[in-house]
Amino acid sequence: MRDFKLGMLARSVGKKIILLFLAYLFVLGTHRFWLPWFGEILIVETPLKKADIVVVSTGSYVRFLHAVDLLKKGYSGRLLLLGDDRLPADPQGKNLTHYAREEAIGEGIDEKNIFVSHSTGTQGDARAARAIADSHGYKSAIVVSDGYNMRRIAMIFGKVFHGSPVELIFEHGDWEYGEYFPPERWWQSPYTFSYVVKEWIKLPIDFYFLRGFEPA
Amino acid sequence: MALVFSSREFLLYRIGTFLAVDQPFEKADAVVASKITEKIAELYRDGRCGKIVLSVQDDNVNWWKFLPKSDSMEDARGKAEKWGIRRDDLIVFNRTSGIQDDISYFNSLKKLLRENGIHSAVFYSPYYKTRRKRFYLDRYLDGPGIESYVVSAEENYLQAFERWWENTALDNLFLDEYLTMAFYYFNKILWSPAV
Repeated sequence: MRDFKLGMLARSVGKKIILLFLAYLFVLGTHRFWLPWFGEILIVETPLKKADIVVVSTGSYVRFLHAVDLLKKGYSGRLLLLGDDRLPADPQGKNLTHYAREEAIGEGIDEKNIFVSHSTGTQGDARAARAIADSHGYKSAIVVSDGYNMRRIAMIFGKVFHGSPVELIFEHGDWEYGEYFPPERWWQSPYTFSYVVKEWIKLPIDFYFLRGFEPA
Repeated sequence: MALVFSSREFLLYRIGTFLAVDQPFEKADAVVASKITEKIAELYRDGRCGKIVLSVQDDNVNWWKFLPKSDSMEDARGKAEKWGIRRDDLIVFNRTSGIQDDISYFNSLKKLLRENGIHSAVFYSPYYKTRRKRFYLDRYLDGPGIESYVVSAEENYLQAFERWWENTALDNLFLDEYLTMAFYYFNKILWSPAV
């Protein structure tokens, strides 16, 4: 009786191992067809047009470059720079928003048209952007970020700007700077892999914390 | 489950400190770092390392224009002399920032070390990056003829791990480190050419 039970157990475990192995072979053979989806779905774009202000977080240099480029091309005349004051970028304690502001002025943007705000995350970015837009009566804003960040940015900005007359335009420009690998092979760069996985971790967390959010 | 919940702060602390590696060493052929510090210059003057390999940033990469960069090759050579490091003992290695790619970095570095007859090297790194450095060194640098040690560039780094999970800036940095190591296994399982 015992031998019979042991035999059944061995067969059951054996079947599971074979199934696992077949599943692994399936993943190995087909991942190039479905894995890109996990990168593609994160990218959200809306048609680009002129707006009252361009909003960008200084979390990455290439998104800042793209934001400044949009101003130089005439898509807007105003720039909102967002960054975390807790993170000094140099031994003197200056942070990236300081350097971003200097560079924007150096690129010919009038300093009167540059707004700077401290923010520790995407929700903070959205709130700061809404506060600036409301206080100045702006009707449209181009929100610039990295491609893989756009789904979460659109979700959070959409929630924070709910009920506001401000039209939001979502724009990314990182492919031309070669910063990240494109969706068809996002997992083959450590930087892009880390970025995409973090977005998938943060999306449900931000969705959960936004559930009861009501704009002020 | 109850045990995990009750010891969560201890577990989280250990998840943070796992990222820090600090290996003792007596002597090595070279120190590899992104800038020369008093500590590194002292090692050289004390005879505990024969050469310094300095990795400097390529001027052509995308970087904040007004943010002080790490030194160019000539600046690095000039500063090294002030620290008492002979020109012949300084090897300047050009690295590009932008897309982080530990694998191509270590493959290039391995070639450089072999060409310069370096068989042992100490790698200085920010404290939270030392585990990742050790991880990739074990897979891409270590082998017959090259021994490596990883040392934190900061000395009193343990306090940075106190309640790190309440600081979103550190959350992101630490998560990045773990994901960069997970990248290796993910691509290995998929037989990807990336690793």
